[in-house]
Amino acid sequence: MIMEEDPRFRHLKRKIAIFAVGALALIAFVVVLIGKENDLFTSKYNLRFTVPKGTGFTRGMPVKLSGFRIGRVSSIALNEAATVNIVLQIDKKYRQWIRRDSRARLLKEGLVGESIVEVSVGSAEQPVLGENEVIAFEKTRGLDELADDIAEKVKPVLIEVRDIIAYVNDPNGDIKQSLRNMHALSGNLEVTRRQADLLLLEARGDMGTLSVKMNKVLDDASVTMHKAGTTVDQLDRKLPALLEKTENALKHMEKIGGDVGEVTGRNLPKVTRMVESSQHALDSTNEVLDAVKGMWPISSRMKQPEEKLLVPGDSHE
Amino acid sequence: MSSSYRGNLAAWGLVVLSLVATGCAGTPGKVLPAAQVEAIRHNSRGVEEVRNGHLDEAVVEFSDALRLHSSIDNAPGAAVALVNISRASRLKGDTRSAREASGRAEALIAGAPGLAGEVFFEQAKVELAANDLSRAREFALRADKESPTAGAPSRKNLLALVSFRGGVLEEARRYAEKALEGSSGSDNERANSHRLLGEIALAGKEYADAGRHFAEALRYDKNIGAAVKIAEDLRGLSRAMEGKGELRTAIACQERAVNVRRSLADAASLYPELRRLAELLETGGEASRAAGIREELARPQKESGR
Repeated sequence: MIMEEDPRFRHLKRKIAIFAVGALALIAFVVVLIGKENDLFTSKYNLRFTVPKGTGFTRGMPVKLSGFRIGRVSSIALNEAATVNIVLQIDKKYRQWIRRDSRARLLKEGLVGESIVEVSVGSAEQPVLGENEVIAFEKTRGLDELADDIAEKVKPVLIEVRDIIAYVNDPNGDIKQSLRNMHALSGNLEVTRRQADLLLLEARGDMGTLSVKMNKVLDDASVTMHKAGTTVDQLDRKLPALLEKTENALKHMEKIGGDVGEVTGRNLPKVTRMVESSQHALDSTNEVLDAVKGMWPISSRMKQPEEKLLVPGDSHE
Repeated sequence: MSSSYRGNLAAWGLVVLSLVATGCAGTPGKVLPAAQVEAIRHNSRGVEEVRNGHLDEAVVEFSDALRLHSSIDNAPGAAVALVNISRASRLKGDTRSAREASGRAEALIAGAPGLAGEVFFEQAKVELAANDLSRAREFALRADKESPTAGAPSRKNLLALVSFRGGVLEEARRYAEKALEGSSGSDNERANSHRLLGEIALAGKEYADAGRHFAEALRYDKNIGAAVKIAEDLRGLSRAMEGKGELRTAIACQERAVNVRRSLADAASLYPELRRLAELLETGGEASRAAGIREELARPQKESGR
């Protein structure tokens, strides 16, 4: 028989047994390894919280504390109030750090990483959370909410920037006009510079002509001064004689004045008497005339000045 | 009796007779103080100056008269001088001085009762010149009350003028017609009455009556030679003719008014007449003549740089 003669089949049952035991051990080992990997053999406890919406939560989502995995989301269920009850399964060995003031938050690791539930470390003076107790949930803002918030804040800034750009670009605005004016000014400055250059050149020429003329004027002035000097000399010679003659003339005039005064003094009383006599004669004549005016028939012809003579009152004027 | 004795006797008789006649006929008269006589002379000269149109010189003469009368406390003389100062000042356009002088004259009425009518008359004229119709009316009524007969036409005319200026036409008409009653009025006041009645008729659009009254006023004013009033009468006649639709006659009258004003050499009174003539000529279709007149009106303004 083949089984009895082939050495490979000798002690076959023993070999099969050994293989089976070895395979079972291996399977058990793998199971234990996997179990250890998935924390199947660690003791756990549950914590729970309620959220308005279960968006972002998934069963099996890791629960981390200080970046270290301490458990997983074991259950997500809708309750009667249409909110969502989340149950966390946490390893008991991490219990000591999860206290009453610990907070659970839904986060994304990195910008596009997986979502996790992060539990914050509680204060030592607070009591440890027990089995099935409620841990406080802190809502964090999602990326879309952050984006809306940033958009709200950025929007007015963008509007202002748009207005500023419109103001700067306005062809009739101050900036453009100022630029135009500056451009025109710079153009005019160039023209002015050229004209100033021409003026300087002309002035240079004129200065030469002017200096020639000034020299001539100075020469003429020198001649005139010389003539004036000659004239002054002549005056100097002739002036004393002239002054002497003037003095003599003044003396004569004084003498004449004295004579006139003497004559006047002698004859003035006579003139005064003549005037008085004339006045007297006039007064006498007036008296005679007044008397004659009072005589008939002259008085009847004489018009007496009316005392109450009024300017005629005209109702119209 | 010898002939020589008779001749001597005749001669002595003639001498005695002439002496007696002189003594009887001579009127010793009232001897006025020298200051008063001098004041009267100043007053007379002032009246003469007003007649010649020299109003400034007239005020000086009247002021001298006032000073002299006041120096001898002669209230009637001072009142007369003040009334004359008021009149001359008013004619110059100096209403303030006129009001002051006539106010002082009113204070002297007690010493010169016969002058009350004149003083109130003058005060009414001053207030009328100042456009204070209520006070003008008050003084005009007082003037009329003071002298119901003497100077009545002028008082009535003044009341008529005040009423006319105040828009009370019927009352103005009554006063003006009253002024025409009787024969005490002068040609001057008759002319004033007719002129005023003409204005009242124009205001009431009674053009025929207006023409008649202005024509009468013109007749009287020509008698007395009042050039300014003749021009006014002609202007009124022109307006009446225009109202009646007789445009040619209106233009002719207005031209005569312009000529009279020109002779007075008073630009202020000439220009309104020229303007009216230009308007009439434009209405009558004589645009070229009107343009000439407008040019004449514009010339002095251009020359003065206005």
